[in-house]
Amino acid sequence: MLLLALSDAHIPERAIDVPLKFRKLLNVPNKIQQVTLLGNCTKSASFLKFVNTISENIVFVRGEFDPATVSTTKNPAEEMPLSTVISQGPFRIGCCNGYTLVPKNDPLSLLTLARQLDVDILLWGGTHNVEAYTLEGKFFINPGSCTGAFSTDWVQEDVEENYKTSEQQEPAEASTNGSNQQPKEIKEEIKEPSNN
Amino acid sequence: MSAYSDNMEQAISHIKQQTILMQRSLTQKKLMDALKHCSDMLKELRNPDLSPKLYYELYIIIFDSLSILSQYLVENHPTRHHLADLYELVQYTGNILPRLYLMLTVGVSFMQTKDCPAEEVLKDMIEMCRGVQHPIRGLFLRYYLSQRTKQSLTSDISLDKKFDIQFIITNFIEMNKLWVRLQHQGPLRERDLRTKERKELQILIGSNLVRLSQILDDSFALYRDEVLPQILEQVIQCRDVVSQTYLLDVICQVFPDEFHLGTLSQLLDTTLKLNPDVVINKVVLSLIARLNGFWDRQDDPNAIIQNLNHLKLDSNTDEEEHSADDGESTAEKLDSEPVSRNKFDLFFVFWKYLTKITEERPDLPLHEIIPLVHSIMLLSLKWYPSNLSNVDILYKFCWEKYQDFGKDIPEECEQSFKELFIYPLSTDNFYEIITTCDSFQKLLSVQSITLQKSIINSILDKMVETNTKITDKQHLDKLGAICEPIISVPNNKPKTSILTVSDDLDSELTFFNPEQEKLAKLVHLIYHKNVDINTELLLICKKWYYNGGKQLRFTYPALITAFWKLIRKLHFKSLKRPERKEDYNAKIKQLFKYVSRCNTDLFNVCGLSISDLIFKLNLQTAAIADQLTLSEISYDFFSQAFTIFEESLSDSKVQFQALVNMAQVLQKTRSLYNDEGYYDTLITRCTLHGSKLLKKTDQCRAVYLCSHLWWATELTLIGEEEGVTKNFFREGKRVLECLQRSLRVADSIMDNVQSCQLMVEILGSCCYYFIHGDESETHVGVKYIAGLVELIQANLKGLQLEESGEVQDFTAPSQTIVIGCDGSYICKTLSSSTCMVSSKIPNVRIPDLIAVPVSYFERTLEYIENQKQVDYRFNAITT
Amino acid sequence: MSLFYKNPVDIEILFDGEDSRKHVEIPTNSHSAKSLFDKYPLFEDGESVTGLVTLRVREGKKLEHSGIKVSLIGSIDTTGYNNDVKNKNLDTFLTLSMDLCPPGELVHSVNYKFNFKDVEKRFESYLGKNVSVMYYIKVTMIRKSADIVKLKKFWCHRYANESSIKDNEGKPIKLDIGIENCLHIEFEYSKAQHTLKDVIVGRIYFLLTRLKVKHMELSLIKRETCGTEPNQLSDTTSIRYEIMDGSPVKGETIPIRLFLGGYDLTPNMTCNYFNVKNYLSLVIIDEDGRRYFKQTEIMLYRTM
Repeated sequence: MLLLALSDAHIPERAIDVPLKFRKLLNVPNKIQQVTLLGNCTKSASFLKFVNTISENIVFVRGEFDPATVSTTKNPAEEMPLSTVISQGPFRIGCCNGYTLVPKNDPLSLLTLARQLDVDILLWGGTHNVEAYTLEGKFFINPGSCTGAFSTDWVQEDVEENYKTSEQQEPAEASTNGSNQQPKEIKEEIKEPSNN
Repeated sequence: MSAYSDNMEQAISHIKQQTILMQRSLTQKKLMDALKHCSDMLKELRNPDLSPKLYYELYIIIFDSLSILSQYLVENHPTRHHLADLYELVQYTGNILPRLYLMLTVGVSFMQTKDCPAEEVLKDMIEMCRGVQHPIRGLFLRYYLSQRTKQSLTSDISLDKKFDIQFIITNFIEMNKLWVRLQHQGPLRERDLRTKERKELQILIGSNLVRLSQILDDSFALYRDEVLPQILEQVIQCRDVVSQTYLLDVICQVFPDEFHLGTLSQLLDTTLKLNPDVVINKVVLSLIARLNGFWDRQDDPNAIIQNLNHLKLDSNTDEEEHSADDGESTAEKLDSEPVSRNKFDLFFVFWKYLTKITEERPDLPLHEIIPLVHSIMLLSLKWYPSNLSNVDILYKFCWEKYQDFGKDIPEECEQSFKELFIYPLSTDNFYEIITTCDSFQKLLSVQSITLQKSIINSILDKMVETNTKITDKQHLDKLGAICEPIISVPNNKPKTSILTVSDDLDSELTFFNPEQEKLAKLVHLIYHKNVDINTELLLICKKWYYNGGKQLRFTYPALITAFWKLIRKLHFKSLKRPERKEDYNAKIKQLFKYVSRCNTDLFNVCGLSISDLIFKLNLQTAAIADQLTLSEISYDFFSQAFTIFEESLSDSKVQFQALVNMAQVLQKTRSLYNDEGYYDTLITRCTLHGSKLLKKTDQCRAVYLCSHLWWATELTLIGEEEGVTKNFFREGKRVLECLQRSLRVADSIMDNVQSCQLMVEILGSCCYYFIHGDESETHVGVKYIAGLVELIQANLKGLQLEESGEVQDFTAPSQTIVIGCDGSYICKTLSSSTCMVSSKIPNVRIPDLIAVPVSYFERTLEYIENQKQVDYRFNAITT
Repeated sequence: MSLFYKNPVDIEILFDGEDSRKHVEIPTNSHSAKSLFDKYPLFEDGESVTGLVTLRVREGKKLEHSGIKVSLIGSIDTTGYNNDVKNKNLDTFLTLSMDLCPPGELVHSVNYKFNFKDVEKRFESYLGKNVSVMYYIKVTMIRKSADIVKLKKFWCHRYANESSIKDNEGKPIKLDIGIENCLHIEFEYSKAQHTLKDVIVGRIYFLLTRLKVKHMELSLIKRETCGTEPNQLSDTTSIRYEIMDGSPVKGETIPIRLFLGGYDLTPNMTCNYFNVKNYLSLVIIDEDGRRYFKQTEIMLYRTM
């Protein structure tokens, strides 16, 4: 099965939309079974609509710029958790934006959280940087910002220059988070528990 | 003898029978008998009770039968008979309809022979057809004539083209008259039925025009001087709505595009003279669609514009005087009009037409004029895409019309107006249109608010979709004016006092506002490579947005982001060009002020409802300032954040999250370690707030998280590296203090489950520090950890005792529960793949609840065990 | 009669060149006739009538007579008018006689030529319902007992003097008729006088049509009148020809064309006893079956 992790869209306050190429790529109905929104993704109705077309199974956690509640089909004012867990086959997957994690983006902190949540895989966001690594037998994935939204974190200087030129050439794809990383999707291939 | 059959079946069988008899007579060379049979079967066509459809059915059968006769007639001429004699002979038939069918059959057969005075026969036939005045019978008779002659005219006989054309036109005119007359047959209440029947027959009339276009081929002059004037004359004369609508459409369809270009004014003038009930714009639209299609079909469309001039010139030489005259009067008009251009300009032709039609037809309702304007706009945008003044003129025209009509704009106009606004958005020039055509906004602003909003939304969507950058002040002003209806709050009373709670709640819930979302996105389209201009653009935008009242909370965050981006851009510029650092810094400071201004505005206008947002915006701004080593500015923004935290954040959960978030941001700062002790002040204040949180669990978590404020970690982006960088801000003593304080709070919590959970969390923190450094630095040592482990073990034992009294069997839990990073319960049932997250203690069996800290503790111990293999220091911890 | 009594002499009348002469076919008047048409040799006014009379006596018989003469007789039969079959009303307007042979005895067959030179035939042959005009050659063998008579009819056509007619021909007939507030038409026939082989050409112009016209016909009417008032008797025969189907609108012009050559028509005739006149009648039939008509007299004449 395929799981799509999206994070830090920051639409509309920091980005206009998910890049077109990305939207086209994802616009395959019934391909992806589960979507996780790892924070700062709930301010745009159009974005949520788009996510809804990808899959109806959506799990979300709160980012610092998300409202406290979000309206869902079940509940008009469902509280947005800071962290949650989903299970897929034999795996437990933790989701967290990590804006309450101190120190931010720290592997050991994340490991501690993963242990606390008793998960095998931890999806987190908030940094606008794509990362993936294993630590202590656990898998850590940060999908970065799906829109390439501006980040207030520390940025590398030389890349900023690239940002400038890329913005002029192809503004739709411009990554303004300073790291010039194209937004990436992490689609985790998770095998079903083998029955045979 | 003269009777026709009662019903269709009889009629068909009668015709078939007579056909067989006729064929038999023909094989026996008994022509007179054959003619008699023909005449007999033709009587069926006299039936007045048939619907056009059934009549057509009979006609088809008879047509085929008469073809057999016709063939015989030609083949046996002049050996067995002379067709000239037969032509006279058949005219003795007493009934007119059979007589004429026979006459036409013989006549056309005759024309296929060499010695025939074809033109005279044709003239005679068409003249004699006048005898049939019954609409349906006449129509079919004439259709028969045209079908028959079509075969013969195109074959051997080369008639004079002009004559041929005249013949078809004459027939066409008569057919149209009959067709129109059909409308008035029968009782009045069957009017609609008549119209329907007529439409079924329209092809009969239209076929004449198709025929004409085939014969004309490329004889444009003939078309312009002979054919079209006659056709149009008939169109005007017949005064019939169905006919006029249909014929003009057919004219547009069947004749070549080049012809239309050359006769545009003729066509357009005709529309002025139509029955008032004809929807003129449909006619014009189909003409324009044709012309636009022509444009699309060209390999090099621009070449037509060149040719257009020639074409027009051609037409003018013919009627020099007339056109000179015409030109004069229009030229006069032009002086008073905003359009002043070459008269071979297609747009000009249509524009002239538009002014003319409104003059001559003051009765024309607005909902008919607007589509007309719309179609002319289609033309202009296709043919003269860069000439936007055309478009502006059209909008202006509409606006004036709108004014003329005053308030009484019927609802049906709304859709027309909408199309008028929407269409340009689909073109490449949409941005130029909306920003340079003054009348676009003017006209839009008088529309209903719903329509305006709908258009604005479309504009914004289009801007975003095409990623159209706004680089010009005027453009932005224009856009602002256009978007005014969604920017401004209708009843924008300044609300100084704190709003009622319910109001705030509502606005919090409706954080989706698609319009405002689009408006916010607009900010990201503003771009100018010159930072000053860019700033100026943003400030204009800010000014516009400010009118939005509480909607600021949707738009201002985007604006703030834009300022952030500029700040960072300037920062990098200053790094590249240190000699201008001063200048850049001044600008950066100014930008921070703008951000601060935005925050203040937000707070003043939106009040408490979004204080959490403002708090975080302040934090992030502070972080950026810190990264730029602008410690004072950073400190200011942190202070702002604290103020908001202290004054406006009341919800305990919000407080906890805000505080921890602040700790996270603070932990990443670098510029505040200065002599002023900014950092120290801030982290102390932060920790203090943490220890004073309402709930003990929150206090406990906040404090152990705040411990990190005294333990800076590497920022690889700025070249820091654990073990290499020596000057990290680290104070192990304070770390331990925090942990100890946190532990005390955890221990004091009455709920054993929560207490244990927190202790394990603290144990996790301890492990963190233990890994991070030697006990001498971190002050978190083996002893401390071991003690903590023991404490937890003891507490857990107590917890299990507490539980064992209640429940005997310890079966597999039906739910797995973990506690999240903020202390919320994350419960997973077996049936679902996702979890319920709640801050309340879930309704579960006690053992399940107890299992939470127990298993967490086990996991932690397991971790410690595993660490022993990588870090020998862990061996000292006995578990 | 001949079954019981056989004439002792067989008289045959043969016109010169009869075989090659033009004949006319005239519908048989009597109902008992076997064939529909009778054939008659055709002569013109002023043409000489010549021929040969052959008298055949039976073999071995002698026939005494008081003279044989041949006559050319033209007569008008108005029997039909009197409606009295027994009382034949025959008026002979032309009698020309010549003796073929003086009284004597016929022993064998003989031929006699006869020749009526340049006979003026005042009237055309005519066979009407009530009146007929007949020409015949009559051979009479005068006998003491009953005369033996043999008749042979021939037909006469009078051809109009073309030059005299030409003068009138150019004048078309124009009429303007109508029903108030209902119908108003103008119609026009290109001329009032037609030869029998002519084509009637005309047009009808509709100025006002509130009437729901179903169709329109042209009737060619021949009216034969004889006798004098009040005992005048007339007979009408007509040919119907549909010229329009459906209801025209105001301003419509309908063409009229009627070929006369194909019909058996009679030229106009006038004499003391009777006259034959021709009329064109325009008949409009409306949707309720009502007929409106307008008759116009036209002149038909015979030409070569």
